[in-house]
Amino acid sequence: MQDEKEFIKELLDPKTQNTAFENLLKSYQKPLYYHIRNIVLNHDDTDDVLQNTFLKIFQNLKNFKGESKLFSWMYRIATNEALTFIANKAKKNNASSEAMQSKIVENLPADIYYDGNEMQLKLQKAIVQLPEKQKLIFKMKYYEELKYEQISEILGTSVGGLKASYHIAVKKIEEFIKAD
Amino acid sequence: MKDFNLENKTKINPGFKVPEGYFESFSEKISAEISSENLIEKPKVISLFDRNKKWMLSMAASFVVLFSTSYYFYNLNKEKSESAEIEQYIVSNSTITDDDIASLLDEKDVQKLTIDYNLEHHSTENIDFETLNIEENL
Repeated sequence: MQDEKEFIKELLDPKTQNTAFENLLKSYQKPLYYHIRNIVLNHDDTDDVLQNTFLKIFQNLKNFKGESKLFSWMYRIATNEALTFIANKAKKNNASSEAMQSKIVENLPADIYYDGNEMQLKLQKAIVQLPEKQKLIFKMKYYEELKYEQISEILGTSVGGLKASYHIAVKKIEEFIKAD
Repeated sequence: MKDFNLENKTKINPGFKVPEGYFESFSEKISAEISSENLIEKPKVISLFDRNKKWMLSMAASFVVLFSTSYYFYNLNKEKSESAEIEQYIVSNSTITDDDIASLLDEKDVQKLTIDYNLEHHSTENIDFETLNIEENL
């Protein structure tokens, strides 16, 4: 993407705003969609969260100070929206966030927008056992193939800490699948 | 599954499907939503009266308070300064005689003095007589 400061200016200028936002959507809607989908798992929920994410991005652009990269700032908003969504969904169903997520994974085969095979479903079941942060780090590294530096900017965790967490997550997943 | 190694295995994708044409329609949907009046900061239309009503009322109220207090203090000071000036004038201009003052008094003033100092006509007359008597004694 072009010079970020220039791009943010275009996003804030009413004359260039529409074109700039369309460019932003084109570049980020897919990666943000999959980032959110990996957390909330269901397509319709992802659609809701993605909409809220882009609306928040747009509404808060004027407050964006450029202290972090636009990329990590948007991912942070998306992550926050997705986690809040899960927490609210759990609350509505009178369940814990962990129990809610396990239930969603159990229901994955019935989802018309899921066509994972046995191995893919097994991996989802293994991931859902992990503690919240390891879960998030594993998905971002393994599924989304983000670099440790990028994940570090998004989550505010050191690269060393992320590597350790990812390594532990991989071991736990392998153990879970082996035991199955 | 005994020898499972995630890193050596071919990548396992999450297995998600996305409805056809989703991203195209999402772009349109969100762009429309963003350009709708809720999000783009259009200048709000507020009637001139509504916008100024509060200001006008508070300004009017503060003017009333300001003028009434300043008028009160102005009068207070004016009275004070007037009588002080007169006093000062009388003190510094000792050439003024009682006659000068008396010439300034009209009928009403005299009546007021009569009441204030409880002076009766006859007593004044008496005094007059006495002075007259003194004159005779000289």
